[in-house]
Amino acid sequence: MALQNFARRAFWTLPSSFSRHSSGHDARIICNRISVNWLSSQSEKWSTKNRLDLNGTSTVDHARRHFHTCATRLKKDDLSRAQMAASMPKQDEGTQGENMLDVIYDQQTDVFPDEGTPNRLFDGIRFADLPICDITATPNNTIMTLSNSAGIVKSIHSCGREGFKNTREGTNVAAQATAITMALRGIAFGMKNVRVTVAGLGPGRMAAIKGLTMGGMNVISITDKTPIAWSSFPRPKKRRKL
Amino acid sequence: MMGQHAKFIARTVLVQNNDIEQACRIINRIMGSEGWFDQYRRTRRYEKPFMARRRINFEKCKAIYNEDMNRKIQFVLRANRVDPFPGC
Repeated sequence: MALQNFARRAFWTLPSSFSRHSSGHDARIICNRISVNWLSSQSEKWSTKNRLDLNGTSTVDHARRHFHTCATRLKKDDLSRAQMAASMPKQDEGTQGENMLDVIYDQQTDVFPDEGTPNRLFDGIRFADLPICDITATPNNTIMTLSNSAGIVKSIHSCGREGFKNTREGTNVAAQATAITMALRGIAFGMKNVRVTVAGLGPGRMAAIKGLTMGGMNVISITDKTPIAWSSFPRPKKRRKL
Repeated sequence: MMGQHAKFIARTVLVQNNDIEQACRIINRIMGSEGWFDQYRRTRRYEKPFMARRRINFEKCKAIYNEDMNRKIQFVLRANRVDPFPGC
């Protein structure tokens, strides 16, 4: 009888699917019967499955969430999530060879510029007078600017202008296609040999340089001009929540 | 940062025989091994002081461990020993 009273009290807390669809006394009786059965089954479960030990941790039932944890911790401990994350391919930042161990460049003396490089001739043009192709590779887009040695901009092109929209802008395929178009334009301007500067880490970082050569341009040098801050002001945005 | 250095001299690689892949790899490798990319990635979002402390402590511990481990490896691999297998 005490159990039935408890069940009557628990009536309003039961799921609405079997309590709220009909009205009045009959519904209450039906619900009492259901809830008594439900409660007895639950109490059996609780007594056997959800026994709490002194540390407050459940001994058997792993499906039920511990009271001292939270969604973020559960996500962190979820093995299947970690496995999935490990199996995902590494995001392309255009930094292939970053962790490579080789000494090839040590044997090549001509790889790095020296004091004579600005006056060195490439197809009859001084290195310092060569046109410049600036590439800004961000995770979401790649923007390319073609200018002469004085910095006068001749042409600007980006993955968005090339016809790739939204997330497709941030792919190496888009960057390569954009660079090919850019190279064709540059050659039309008479800019066959270019110096390339790249800024930022993104999928277009390497792909764009490759695209320039595919379009027929001759890349003389590659400069990294990623803006790296050692004391960041203004303070960057806060981290994204997991 | 770049304004203080000569443009097209600092952080520049000349392409050899039109091999841009190799040139990219060289510049990526140097930038990566000297920690420039790490610094760039780290400053995209604010690093809270407690995170900076934790990271620096971890780096210190790692450096100490690596130093000792290298010393140990050098000791085991040392050449020109009077007795090649001491204690055997």
